[in-house]
Amino acid sequence: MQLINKKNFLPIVCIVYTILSFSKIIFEIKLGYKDPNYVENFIMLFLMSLIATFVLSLHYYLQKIPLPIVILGQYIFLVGIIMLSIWIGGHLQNNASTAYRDMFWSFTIPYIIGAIIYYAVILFQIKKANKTLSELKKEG
Amino acid sequence: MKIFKYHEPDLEENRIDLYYKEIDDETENIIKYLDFYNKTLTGKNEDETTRIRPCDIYYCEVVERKCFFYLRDSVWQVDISLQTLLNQFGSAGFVRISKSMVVNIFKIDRLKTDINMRIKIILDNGETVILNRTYKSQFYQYLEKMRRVK
Repeated sequence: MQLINKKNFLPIVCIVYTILSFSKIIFEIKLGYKDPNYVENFIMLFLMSLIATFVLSLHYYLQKIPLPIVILGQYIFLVGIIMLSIWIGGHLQNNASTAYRDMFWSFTIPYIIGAIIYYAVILFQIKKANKTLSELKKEG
Repeated sequence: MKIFKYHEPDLEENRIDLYYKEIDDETENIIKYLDFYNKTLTGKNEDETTRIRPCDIYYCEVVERKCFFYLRDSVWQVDISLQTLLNQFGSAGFVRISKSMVVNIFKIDRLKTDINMRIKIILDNGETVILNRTYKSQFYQYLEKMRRVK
């Protein structure tokens, strides 16, 4: 089953963007931080949502490749795109001296958390399926 | 629903009669189950032919447009498509695990992951087949559906 297709691609991008934007706003309120590059960062978030959804949609076409390689490959590709966009952005405006490092961690930490959750869900589903299978067998 | 069992030693062949006022879900499931149990498929193997009961099938695979049924310790070619098999016996434990494979869930021993996070289906006879990631959620939904039906 293809989870991300042409029909739901844009709605998924919008959902991801909304979640990220809300998380950013809530986080900033909690920390009392005022983002000096407010507009640029929101545009960046949208681009990130667009690229991340596109990369995740490729998941369907990479079924024969082992999952860890897919996850790692997608991570490297996305980090590359983000670094490239910061580099391009650096030509249009001044980047903060920690821009690359900040974006690296801002992306890497959620990605690792996401990957761990994904793996945990797989293991949980297998455990649940094994329980269901033994129940079905008992009942004949 | 009432069930009566009669022991008749002189009977030529075992028989089930089903009396109903109208076919409700319960009756329909019983009919489907009996149909499934009673139906056989013809399998070919070089110069041999045999009748195969769906409940004896472990998994089915399409290789070069030919459908093969894998039983406990034999393989038979059957003139049927996977879709037809699923339409006829889908409610009896058959679910797709990849584009070219269907497995009988009642023949599964357990699921297991390997280092590459591929989901392996270990069958009762020790054979292993791989659950394709694309069909994973469909497979789990089917298990849940079967659990609720049972």
